[in-house]
Amino acid sequence: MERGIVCIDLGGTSMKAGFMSQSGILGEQCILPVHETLEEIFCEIDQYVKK
Amino acid sequence: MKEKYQIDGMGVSAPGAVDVQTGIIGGMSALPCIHGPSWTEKLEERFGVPASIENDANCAALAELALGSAKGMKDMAFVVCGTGIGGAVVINREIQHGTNLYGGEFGCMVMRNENGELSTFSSEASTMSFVRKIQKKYPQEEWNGVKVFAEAEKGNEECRKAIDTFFYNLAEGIYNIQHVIDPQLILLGGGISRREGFAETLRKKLEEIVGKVGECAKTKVVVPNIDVCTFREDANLIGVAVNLSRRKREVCLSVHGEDHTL
Repeated sequence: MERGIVCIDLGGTSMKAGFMSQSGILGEQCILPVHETLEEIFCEIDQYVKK
Repeated sequence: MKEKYQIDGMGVSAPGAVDVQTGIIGGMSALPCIHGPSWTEKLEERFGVPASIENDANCAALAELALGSAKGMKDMAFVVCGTGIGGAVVINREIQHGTNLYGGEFGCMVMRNENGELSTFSSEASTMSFVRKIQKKYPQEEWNGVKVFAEAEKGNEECRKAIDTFFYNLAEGIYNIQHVIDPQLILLGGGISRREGFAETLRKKLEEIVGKVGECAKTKVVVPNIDVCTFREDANLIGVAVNLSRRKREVCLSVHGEDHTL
């Protein structure tokens, strides 16, 4: 199983999420919506991780 | 993702005054909910892995420092020229956040406008500076940076002058940054930095300023060493990973066979 880091780039209207493997390959990127509450933002990240 | 990968950590890049120690995004923004709680605490609690957060411009600078145009550099300044101006200061390969977390906020530097009034580096040397000027001159049309450059190339004198002033102001700010921090490199980012001839035009303006200042101050001044950044849209995400691997030693990132737990 490949190891790596979940990277989130938070912007004002959306956030970009990507997975960087331990060997430095950035893949699996997607744009996620941002919401009015932090809990909803974390739920988005949660869903991205579980996807 | 969880079935396919083993998640070793989570990192975030965010706009504004990010306190990397507490994980809190300070200040205010269009998203009030992101300010206040500790992102790192919440991420670690929720996902059970090490987490980190850093300002977005600082992340982009870390990406360049580890793998891009500033690779191997010890001291550098990173100037991001977009709708405003932001950036980062790196001394001894460490981001300088400053007492108020305003380290690298070059856009706040004072600059005079064409009427001699008090203004900022952001207002006078961002891409918006010349777009705004042309928009005011020709309000019946919709303008953007690309269009102003295109019209200047076709011979529009107002557009040419606005771009010339923009480059001069940008060079003036860069000259000042050089003489405050004295870095090995001043790296330029933002969409406009990808234009062909951008660095060459800026270098010419810098030489012009260095010549003028050297003459009137009768002292030796430094010609800033400038370059443009390597990474584009991915810079922040790459920097997020570099930042996490630097802050959490247990998260290892090895790129091109090199260890980036720097």
